[in-house]
Amino acid sequence: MKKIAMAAIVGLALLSTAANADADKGKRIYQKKLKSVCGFSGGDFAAKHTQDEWTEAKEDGTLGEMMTEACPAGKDFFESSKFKKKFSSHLYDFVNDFASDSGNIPSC
Amino acid sequence: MNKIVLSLAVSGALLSNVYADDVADLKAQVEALTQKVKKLEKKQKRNSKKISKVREHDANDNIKFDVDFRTAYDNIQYKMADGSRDNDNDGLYSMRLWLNMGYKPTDTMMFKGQLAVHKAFGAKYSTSTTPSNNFDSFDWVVSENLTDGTVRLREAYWLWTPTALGRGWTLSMGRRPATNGFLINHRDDDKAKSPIGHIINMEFDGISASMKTGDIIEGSYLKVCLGRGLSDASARFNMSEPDYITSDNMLHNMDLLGVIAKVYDDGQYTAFAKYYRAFDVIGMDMTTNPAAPALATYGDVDGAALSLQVSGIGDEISDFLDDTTVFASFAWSNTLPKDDQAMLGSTDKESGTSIYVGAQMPNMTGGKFGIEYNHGSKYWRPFTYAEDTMAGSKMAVRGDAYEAYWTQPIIDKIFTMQIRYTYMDYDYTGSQAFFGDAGTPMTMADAKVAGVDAVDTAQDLRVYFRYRY
Repeated sequence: MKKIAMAAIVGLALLSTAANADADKGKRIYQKKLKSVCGFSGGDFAAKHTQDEWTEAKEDGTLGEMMTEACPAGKDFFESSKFKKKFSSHLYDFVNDFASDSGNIPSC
Repeated sequence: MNKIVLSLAVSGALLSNVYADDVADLKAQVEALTQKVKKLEKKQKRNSKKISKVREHDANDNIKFDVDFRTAYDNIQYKMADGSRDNDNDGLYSMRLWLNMGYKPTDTMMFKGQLAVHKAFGAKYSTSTTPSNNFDSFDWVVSENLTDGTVRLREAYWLWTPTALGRGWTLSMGRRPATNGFLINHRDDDKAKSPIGHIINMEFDGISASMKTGDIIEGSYLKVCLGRGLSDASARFNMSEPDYITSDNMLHNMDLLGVIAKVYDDGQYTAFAKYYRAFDVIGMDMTTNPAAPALATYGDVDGAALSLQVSGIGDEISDFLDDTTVFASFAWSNTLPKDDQAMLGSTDKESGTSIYVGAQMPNMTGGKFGIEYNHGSKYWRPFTYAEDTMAGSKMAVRGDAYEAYWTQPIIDKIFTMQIRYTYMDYDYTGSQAFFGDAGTPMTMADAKVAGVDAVDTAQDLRVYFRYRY
């Protein structure tokens, strides 16, 4: 039993990943879940608002609404519980990195 | 009693008048304050918008610089085929600086550049200045090799991204990124800068144009690249001919034409296909004058690859699988000799193939762990001279190459470290050469009989610390 528990702990440890927000992961999530739905690139999506606007929406808990405004076709995704629990922090980091006033230039 | 009642009534009436006046005053004051607050709110909104506009203008009105500085330790060991000696270096320390810059004045035009320094710790006792003998200052690889503290141009190009005929196009010219390409970028912990990591990894001057076809196949585009690897223009102020003319005293122009197709990309599954032909490639001529080998112009070379990547296995099965990347790639090269001039030791067309597979997984420390394997056949010959491996290009190996690495953020993504081990087991000689006699493949046994001092196995253990901001 100890061996099984130990193996399970080790396995879980190996399988667990850090839950830190990650702009690169946000970019991948956009590409995978939203690019074809929205019909434009992640850079264009992020540039629809300034950094302050994205940050304010995050702090007010209205990030989903603001993203829906930027990409109406993604409404279902932005209203899903998975967006709130799993994707919003990564997507926020991504849009913040490439907001219209970020000065960052997307890779070509 | 009446007097008392009367006086109370009078004072009540007086008080109510006073109270009514106060309330009216207060109302007026509140009204005035509300108007003021409204005005202030409007003003604040206007100011916020103005600040955002100023920030936006400011952010996009100057060249942005960022720094990528890496200090590394490499332990390198070679085992020779004849067993005569083992070569190694158990203390090679190096530093690499990339000064990146970018400017995007409009939505459709950008400039990007990169200046680079790559040097070993300590002065170099003998610095090669003649590429015919030592190639570490050769233009294709000059920023990848350990030379001196000279700042060199690694990238500089403009990129125009207009929309025409209902689709997106790109046009770009300059010293384009052809290093840190697709797939090889994982072990380098870089974003893929070019789509051709399996077969081309070198600095590249040229022009490219692409057409987006995402409306037909998701994420797809078609790109044409033209590059010049060698110029036959004469040197300025030389004593025998005018400046910069096409010179018979120089090696011929060496050009490359490539077609790249991003076949599919939905963010999880990505497929690239490429084909190129390199014209008048160079090689070491050891036949004309064996006592003094020299670079010469040879025939043409074809190359092609199909590369596939899966970013995230399944769909939200677990965080581990979501963050795991696996890839596989197949590549081919083919020589096209001219005038019975042997290429890679043969006057016939010789084909080589290579397979390349790998996986990168997240680990519990917030870093990434990766493993890679590639195998090249007898006549395999890619353009991967600028690969970031101190013991030679692993992608060029005619034999087997194995690699494992652990990349770990220490302070977010600003300060990272990597431990990487690369092992290359050669089946044939000539893996790291150009397209002439030096690229002739011989088995290790044949090399031993012929007295050729060939590398049988090579390994590179690297530990680096890298600052990026």
